[in-house]
Amino acid sequence: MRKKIISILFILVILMAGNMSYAYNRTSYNTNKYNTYSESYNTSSSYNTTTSTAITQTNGEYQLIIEDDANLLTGSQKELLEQEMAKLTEYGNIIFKSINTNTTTAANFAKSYYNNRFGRQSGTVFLIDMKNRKIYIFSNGENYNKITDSKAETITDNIYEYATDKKYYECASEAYKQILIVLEGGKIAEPMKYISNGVLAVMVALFINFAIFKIATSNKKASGNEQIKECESYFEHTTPVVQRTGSHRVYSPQSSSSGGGGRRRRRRPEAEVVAEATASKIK
Amino acid sequence: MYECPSCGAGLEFNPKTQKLDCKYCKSSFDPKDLEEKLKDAKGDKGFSVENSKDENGNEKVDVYEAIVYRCTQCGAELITTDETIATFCSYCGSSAVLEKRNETKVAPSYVIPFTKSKEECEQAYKNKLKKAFFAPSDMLKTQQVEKIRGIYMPYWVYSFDKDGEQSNTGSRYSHRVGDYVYYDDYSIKTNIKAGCDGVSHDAASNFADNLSEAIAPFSMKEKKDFSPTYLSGFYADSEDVNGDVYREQCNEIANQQAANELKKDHTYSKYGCKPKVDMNHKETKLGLFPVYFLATRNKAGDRISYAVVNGQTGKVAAEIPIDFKKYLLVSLILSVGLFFLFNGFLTLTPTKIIVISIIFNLISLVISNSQMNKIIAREKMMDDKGNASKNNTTVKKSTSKSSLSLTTGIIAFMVAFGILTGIGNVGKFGIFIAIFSFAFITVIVSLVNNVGKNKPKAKFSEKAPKLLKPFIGLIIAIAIFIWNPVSDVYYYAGAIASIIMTIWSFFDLIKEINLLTTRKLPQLGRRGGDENA
Repeated sequence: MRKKIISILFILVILMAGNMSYAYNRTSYNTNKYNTYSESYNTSSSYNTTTSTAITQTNGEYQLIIEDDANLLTGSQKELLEQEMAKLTEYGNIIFKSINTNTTTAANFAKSYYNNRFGRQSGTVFLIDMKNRKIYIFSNGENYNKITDSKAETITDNIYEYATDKKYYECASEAYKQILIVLEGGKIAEPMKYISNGVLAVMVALFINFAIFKIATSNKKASGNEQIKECESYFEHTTPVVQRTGSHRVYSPQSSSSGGGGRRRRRRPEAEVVAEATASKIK
Repeated sequence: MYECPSCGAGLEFNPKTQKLDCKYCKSSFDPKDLEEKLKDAKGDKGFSVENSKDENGNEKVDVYEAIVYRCTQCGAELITTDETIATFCSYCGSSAVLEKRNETKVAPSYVIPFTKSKEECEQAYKNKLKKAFFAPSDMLKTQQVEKIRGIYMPYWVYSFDKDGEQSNTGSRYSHRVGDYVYYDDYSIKTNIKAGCDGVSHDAASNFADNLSEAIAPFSMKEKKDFSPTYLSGFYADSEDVNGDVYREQCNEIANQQAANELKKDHTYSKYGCKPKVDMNHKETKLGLFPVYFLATRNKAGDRISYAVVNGQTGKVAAEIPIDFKKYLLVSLILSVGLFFLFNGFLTLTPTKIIVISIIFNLISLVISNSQMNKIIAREKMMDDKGNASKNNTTVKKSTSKSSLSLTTGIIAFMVAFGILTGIGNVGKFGIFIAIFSFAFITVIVSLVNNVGKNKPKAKFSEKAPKLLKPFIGLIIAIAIFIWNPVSDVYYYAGAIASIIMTIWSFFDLIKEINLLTTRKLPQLGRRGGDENA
């Protein structure tokens, strides 16, 4: 019983871990340094919350958009970035977005931001969310086939340190460089992926082999049933005689099954049972 | 040794023909017929079953004359009717000089003759070894396997019966009034006439329970009345465990069987009753059952491992160690495959890898704990009722405290959930934390309180050193998880350190398991085997 409970728990934990990591997918983690920076930034900068900083360029069917709502980039940096991003419009819409306010998660923001504009069209958003202090890459359509969740994760993993060091231009520039490499079918550095997969593979292999060995060498105890089959046995019985001896009641509130205390079993007083007892033979 | 009535050469029992064969004149004799013949012949009565009388001339027990070999090293005793058998001690594997003496032995009631030949059992053992991929290759060496030897092991054979009324109670739903559900109670009575003859358990203290229970059952339908002629070409061991030791456990098996029969009557399920039947103990008899035995000493010569094969069914039970180098090599090869597989779909975020390392550490803690319980119980011989009864120790069992660990786990879950709700952070992450708290506390409380099945448990303090490594790994991973550090590097480093602790503890565990596949040399102070001739 205990083994069953524990195995169910583990399955639950694994499922939860899976779900949780999905929720955090394609994000890089908030850091305190990052946090501190943004606070000082808030106090020292004037806000420009309009989209007046936006650059929009159309290349064929795809668009290039830079919307630096959080004012993280200088004018010249935006121009440089625009040049770098231009190559990506061959593959889909390419967007740089930075925000100071956000009522939802970075992931949800990026997703709805892109989908509201372009729906299922190919494209990629690189989002710097100063409210949640997260960077996020969201892709859709053709681009998503190459910039998969795991690739997006790797790219943000590779560049998050620029954001921590307040180098937003370098951060974005490096992100687009790596996105381009991936879209062109090239390889990007995934050091942590390989190290952690390597260690995990060793551990899983040790566990699997251990389980195989234990199963192959287990000396399973013969069950009582197996023993009995080999015995000389006989069994006869007369028709059972059933007699009602009384009754008892169990507390079980109709409104809720939990209620904290569970079911409370209460026997009726002995006298009551005796009074109710009937000697009627049912069978 | 029995001589061939035709030519005078030695006879040997042949498991295939179930007869005693003469290798020289190719005659064959039925064991029972041969015994009758020998009884009639002069001077041969020593090897047949005789009825001994006590001082008042009353009939007492059946006895027979046998040759008893005693191992001077471990004290084991082996009985045979054959002086020329090539011999070495089957229990400690020693080639020390064996003492030999003639003795009158109490005859058992039954014998189940060997039906599997030595070659068939060697093959069955080899097949088991081949399946155990990580077993040391030298275990398969022919020279080693050839030391396998057929021994008639003593078994207590219990009979149970019941002739009378069996009363059971049940209750079923009647109606509901407000917050109460009413149930009707019933008494269900029936007259039972039942019998169960042949629930058996080994009666030799040096035949480990875990091995004897693994090669069970023997088919009692093929039992024969005992004749010492069956022993020709084999050894026998004598009983040294009291018949009462296993009676209760065998009675339980008979009760369960009868209850299952009774359950087939739908009246019981109709009235919400799980029927019980109390079978009465009728008698306990001694039987000799066929077992092939192989004892192998380790290189240091201070520990021994056993392999046993049921001489009637060919079922094998063996204590097989892990060849560490082989295990490591195969694991590395497998991990290369897994590495490429993981790379195809898995990119671990720092949180994911920390969570995975926590899960593996918890699993490792549970595995280490259960293995340490077994190891310590084996070392102290707490897992063997026969041995415990001989040494006047009691087989310690854990009390069922699983409700305690579950309760504390649930409390931890509720506290974590409550706190997270209070600070407004429920969501998936909050639920995960709450479930994790439940798993963590349940496992830890279980370990400390030795919760689990009704099996012997070691004290927590005895096994704690071996649980330390996965625990440290767990603490590292949890600390990183709670700390939520600035740089991802801490996550990866913490997770890797934690996983390394798990792997390290795993290596320790394998060493312990290898120890578990061997036993201390038997110090029997009684019976014997003998030397390789």
